[in-house]
This record gives sequence, structure tokens and C-alpha cells, in this order.
Amino acid sequence: MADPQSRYVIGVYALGVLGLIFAVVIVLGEALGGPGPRRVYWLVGGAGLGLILMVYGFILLLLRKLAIAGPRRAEAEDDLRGRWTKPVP
Amino acid sequence: MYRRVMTALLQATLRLDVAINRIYPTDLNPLYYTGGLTNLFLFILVVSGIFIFLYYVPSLAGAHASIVYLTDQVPYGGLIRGIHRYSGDAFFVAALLHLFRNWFTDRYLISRDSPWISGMFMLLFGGFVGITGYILVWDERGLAVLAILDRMLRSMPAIGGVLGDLLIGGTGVGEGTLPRILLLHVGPASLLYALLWWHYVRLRHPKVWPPATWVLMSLGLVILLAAVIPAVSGTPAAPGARPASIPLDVFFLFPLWLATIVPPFLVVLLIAVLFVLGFVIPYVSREPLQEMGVRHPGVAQVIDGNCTGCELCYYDCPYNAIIMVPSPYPGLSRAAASRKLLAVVLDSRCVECGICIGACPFEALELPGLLETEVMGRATEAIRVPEAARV
Repeated sequence: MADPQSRYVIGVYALGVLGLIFAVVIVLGEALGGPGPRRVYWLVGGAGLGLILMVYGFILLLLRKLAIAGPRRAEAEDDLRGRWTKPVP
Repeated sequence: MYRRVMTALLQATLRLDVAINRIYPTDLNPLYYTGGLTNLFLFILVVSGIFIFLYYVPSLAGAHASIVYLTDQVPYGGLIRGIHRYSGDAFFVAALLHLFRNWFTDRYLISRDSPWISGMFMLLFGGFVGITGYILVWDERGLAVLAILDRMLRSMPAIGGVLGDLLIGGTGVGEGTLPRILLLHVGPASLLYALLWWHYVRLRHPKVWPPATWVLMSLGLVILLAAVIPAVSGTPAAPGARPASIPLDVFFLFPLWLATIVPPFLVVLLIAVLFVLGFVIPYVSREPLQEMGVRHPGVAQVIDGNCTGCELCYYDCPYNAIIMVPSPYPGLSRAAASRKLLAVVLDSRCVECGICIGACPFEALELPGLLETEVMGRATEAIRVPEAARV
């Protein structure tokens, strides 16, 4: 996979699937959680919440790299095409 | 020696920026948002703190039990307690990164001494708020922290006894202690927002909030930490009982940990010296202005007849030194004849940098000691090819 764009797209899809899994973890945590010994499930749900937020952050980063999001789209497109790393002839 | 060290640190900081910019797009480099991240963590602290405040009982018998109730019985109470704990740690780390970055890159010079001085006060108050947070849990560690803090205050000559009595509400721990500690926790935390206003007031376009990517990642990381390593209370505090040896966090409670090894007065003296040196940094420039060849060109002057009210100078001035007022009369030039606004320079804020001169396309601003004609003349002279070198 030499093309960075396809790597980023696959990354977005993979992170999306992870996000769905963490959403299920959040729901399970709420369903099984309770006061006393069952509060560990509240923490499990909390872990799912923390992870899903981080996943969303990474998705935004990949969208930025894909030049779909972000204010400086031209810079992102240059980055994608490797213009910053190629030596100037 | 100081200048050589600071130059080396500046170069290291810039190299780190370059390395991080290879990974992230430049506008997402987290090192450019250390201040914004500190603000984000402060916001998380305030919101989670309000939740905890609703359940906290500031009494010797009720404090520990109320925190345990919050952790064990209240839905997601333990999680929110952990978020409060770890966002406090993150606040302090981000604040230190922000301080070091602005120190090494000389972002405290001339009129940026205002954000620097207010930042030093915020560091002091923030550290104190963090220490009082440990005490409020009212377990054995909290009692140990209170005892060390009390010893440090009382070690100060003349005023030590008064400060110690103010802290704990008398000569010993009593029912008045925890309400005072709670006030000392919430009060300075609220004062941080007033200091934040002072911090921003002389900055143009400050990055007060990190980009969405970093908001999500930082918040997510704090919540994950709170879930994986839950904040727990130790054995309830027993004032008057023989204190157990409690390990203290060396990084976040460094002054208190140090006070268990060296006399408390020396720690207080060290803190005082460090803060005085910190306050002095903006006034110990790396080079005297005379050596830099800087002369004072005078405060920027608006040439009323030419100003069109386009606001370019207003937006470009880094020091908020230009304001736009309704124009009391039309300008003299054709472009300025129909203006609605007029630029006015605030002398007390102008640092004579000349950025407004470059911003203005209508020749409506000048530095009286460095006119544009002189600058053009010098530039022309500098690029003139000497006679001998001409082909």
C-alpha cells in the first residue's frame, strides 16, 4: 500500500469499526453497572467512552491528512502528494 | 552563560517542533497548543469539580465517607472523581510545558511580560489548589499533606503562626479545618479565570482552545485513565493518632516530598527564590537593546487624511494597540473620503514594532522616528550593486 491516501481511508474505516465496538462497551457498562461491587462495569463503560473519544480524534486527524477536513486544505494536499519531502530540483 | 544555555534550549525546542511537524500537520502540532490544552484541562476540572462539590461534606466525620459514597454508590461517580484527579495532573503538566516553551522561545519580551507574570501567578495558585485537593479527600495521605503544609507555613518567620492558624482554623485540626481547605480549593480555582483574563488581555489571536482533534484525544485519555486506574481513598484520616509513613507523589507533590527530607523553611525559601527569579525573567533580556542596535522609532502615528478605516492595522497589531472609532470627519484622500471608521493608536500599548505600517496599504501610519522614506532609502542602498562589481 504505497499510496498514503488509501492507507488513511482504510484507517478511517478501521477506526469506525473500533468506534462501534466501544459504543457497545459503553451500553454494556451502563446495562450491567450498579452501586457496590457492580460499579466496575461503570468503569468499563467509562473506558469505552474514553476510547471512543480518542478514536474520533484519530479519525479527525486522518480526515485532516486526507484534506477532507481542516482549514489549510492546500497544505494537506501537498503533504499527501509528498511535496514536502521531495527534494527541490 | 545564561544566553548560551537559552540559545541551546531554543534550538532544541525548534528541532522538536520540526520533528513533531513530520508526524502531524503543522496546525495540529500539540506543542503549539500547550496553553490551550491547559485551558481545556482547567475546564474539565471545573465541570467535574462542580459535580463532586454537590456530594462533598466538609466535616471531619463526613468528608471521607462522602467521597467513598460518591465513588461507590453514585452512577459514574468514581469515573468523574478520577477525571477530576487526572485532569488536575494533566493541567499541571501542560502548564509546565507551556511555561518552558514560552521561556525557551523568548515569548515573554517587551509587552508579553503581562502574560508571563500572570502565568507565574496562575502556576502558584494552580499548584496550591492541587495540594488542597489532596487534603479534601481526608484520608491518611490527605492528613499527611496537611501536616507538612502546616509545618511549611509555620516555619516562616513572623507570619508563619498566623498563616498556619488561618489554614487549619486554629492551632490544631478541628471542625473549621475542612471548610477552610474547601474555600482555599475553590476560591483560588475561580481566581484562575480572572488571572486568565489578565493573561489574554495583551495578546492578539491567542490560541485559547486546542483543535478538535486534541480536545477529543485529551478528554478521551483522561477518561480512559480514570477508568483503568480509578482514584481511590486510603484509610480515613485520624487526627491525633500517630501518623503512618505515607509515600508522596514525588512529581506532583515535590515541594511537600522535599519538606520531609530537608527543613521545611528551606523548601519555602527555595519556592520563594524560584518564583522571584521567574518573575524577573522578562526583564533579564538575552541581549541589551543597545547591543541589538535598536533605537526607539516612536509610537505609531495615524495620518488621519489617508486612513480609510479598512481595519487591516487593527487586525494585524499583535498588541491590541489599535482601536477603530467612528470617523468624526471624512478623510482627505479619495479613498478615505467615504470612510466610516478611523484608526486610533493607544500609546500605552504600542511597542513601536511597525507591523501596522506594513499592514496599511494607504500610507496612513508612520513611525515618527523611522519614516517609510528612510526605510526605502536604506533598503535601496543595501541592494545597490557597488560600482566595482558592475559588469
